[in-house]
Amino acid sequence: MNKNKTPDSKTTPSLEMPKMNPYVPAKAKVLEFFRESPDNFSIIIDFKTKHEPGQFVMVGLPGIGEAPISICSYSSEHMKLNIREVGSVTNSLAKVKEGDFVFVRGPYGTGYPMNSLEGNNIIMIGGGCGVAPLKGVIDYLSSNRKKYKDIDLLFGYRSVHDILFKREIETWKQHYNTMISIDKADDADKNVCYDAKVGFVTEHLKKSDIPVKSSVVFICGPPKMMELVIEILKEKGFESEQIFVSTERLMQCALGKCGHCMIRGKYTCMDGPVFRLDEVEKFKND
Amino acid sequence: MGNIVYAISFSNFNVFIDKISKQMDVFGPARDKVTEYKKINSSSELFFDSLVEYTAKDLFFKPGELIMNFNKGNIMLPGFLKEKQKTKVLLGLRMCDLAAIRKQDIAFTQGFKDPYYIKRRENTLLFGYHQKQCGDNFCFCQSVDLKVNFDLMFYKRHDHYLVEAGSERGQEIIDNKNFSKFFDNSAYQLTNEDRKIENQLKLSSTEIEEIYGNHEWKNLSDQCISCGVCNSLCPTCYCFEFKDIHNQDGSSDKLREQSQCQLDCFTKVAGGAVFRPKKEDKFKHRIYHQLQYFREKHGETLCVGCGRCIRHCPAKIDFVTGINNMKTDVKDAVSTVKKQEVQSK
Repeated sequence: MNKNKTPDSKTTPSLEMPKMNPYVPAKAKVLEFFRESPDNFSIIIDFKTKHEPGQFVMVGLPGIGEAPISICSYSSEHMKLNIREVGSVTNSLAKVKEGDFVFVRGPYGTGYPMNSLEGNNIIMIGGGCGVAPLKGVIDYLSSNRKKYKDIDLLFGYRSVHDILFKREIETWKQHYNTMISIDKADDADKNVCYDAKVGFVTEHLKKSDIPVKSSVVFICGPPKMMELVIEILKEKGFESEQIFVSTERLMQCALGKCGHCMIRGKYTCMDGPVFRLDEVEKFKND
Repeated sequence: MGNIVYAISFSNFNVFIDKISKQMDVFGPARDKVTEYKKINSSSELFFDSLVEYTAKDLFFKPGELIMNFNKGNIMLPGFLKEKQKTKVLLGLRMCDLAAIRKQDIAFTQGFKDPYYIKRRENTLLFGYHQKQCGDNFCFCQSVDLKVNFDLMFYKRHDHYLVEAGSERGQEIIDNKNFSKFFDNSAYQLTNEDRKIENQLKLSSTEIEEIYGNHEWKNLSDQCISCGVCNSLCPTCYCFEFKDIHNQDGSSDKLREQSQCQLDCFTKVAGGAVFRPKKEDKFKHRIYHQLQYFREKHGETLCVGCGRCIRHCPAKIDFVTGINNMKTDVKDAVSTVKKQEVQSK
């Protein structure tokens, strides 16, 4: 190969300016603010866009920054976001009120391939605020229920106070096999009324008799939990091709440029955040 | 039939630069404490006698670039995005730095187009500088994909440059009535030999997938002190992050800074989790992005072999020799297995 080639106009990158500045967000009004748990809240924003379950948006506040937030609804009318107060952006977002504005751009990323999974059982396993993107799938299923067979939900939270989407759980129970669990029940909570099993979601998963044949599993939660869940699923006979994981990484641009979210050459923001397990399995810390 | 090759004497080259710098902004290698690409007003400021320590990337991928300003809930974009940029010349670009501009062009224009980079890069004429004995013991540009795009290329000879136009705009400069008197038709045909550069250091292969699990990576990266200078001095490293700051007037700016993948904060998310905490993994990420990941997406290595990351590494980590050793190990192992197979037969 001649490594010192003279330039070829065909391979010269085009320096034409884009029509749209991809970094500029839209202003979206907060229509509803709802506190889900002591460190978690949901907002409904006036942001109309077509999206797939599992995709995310970048939500920002002036002078603070932007954070990637998964979309936990499925509607072309408005968008619901569930946010955990964990960093500077999310802590500031927790202070917005109905009628305030936030800055939003997206949707970004590759979500769950819902169309190609039609006819399967869907098992969703979520931990903490990892339930948020799965809630987007549930909302999608509510208008596409007939296309899929059995739906199992296994959602685990730290304590009874951390349970998310309390308003929706009753409806889920009517339509899907729903199991809500909490890691531990404190004595202090003995007067609190709740309908949840006690123990790690992984323990309940071990005991459960979820179908392996023609099933797909969606997992989203803390890295440790996801690792354990994958281990248990493998013991039950699941193949990597049946498992979809939603990954978390630092993201700055969400456009496949800034490089922070790269996992072995793949951009979490574009090729993910939802990956089929066999695509990323060997790349744990890369 | 190749391009017409022109000749320009060193003295005429200086007059040409003096003339052109009256008409447009000219940037080239100049020496103060270090040699770097900066704006020059006359040819006397140019310095070709040493390698250029700093890269040219800051000119287009500007540190602290103002992305937008938020004022009373409105977004204001910097004015230069709408303005036509004055023609500028970036000259004296060594082959590695010239190739690096191509790589950054690819990174910022493929997929989503980056308006800030494109605008700063717009109307820039690139004049390359080729010298056969170009580098030092750390250069290995002939081992990577050194593809370049240029407007004019100056090949250094003993008392003159051979000049080749690489674009219509480059040819226009040569044909321009103010400059054409400096360029004589040399009737020379450039050969591949003319375009080569002599390197002391050689990377045995850019195919490094098979050595990903090699334990030598740990030994190499154990010496790393996580200073990130390899990222800062790399002409092709293009990772970035946004920074939001408050201004005195109550508005706020979103700025863009270059990022260093060798630091923990590169993968640190809210809540404190670091996704790539091990030095070995961070080190490998840089090398694999440079040699493999970029090639998988764009068909050529990101690395241009300028050697800055080795030359200026305070821990003196030489990844090229490291990879060569690992590749030799693999080869030895394969040949041993083959020998054993033959013997067992």
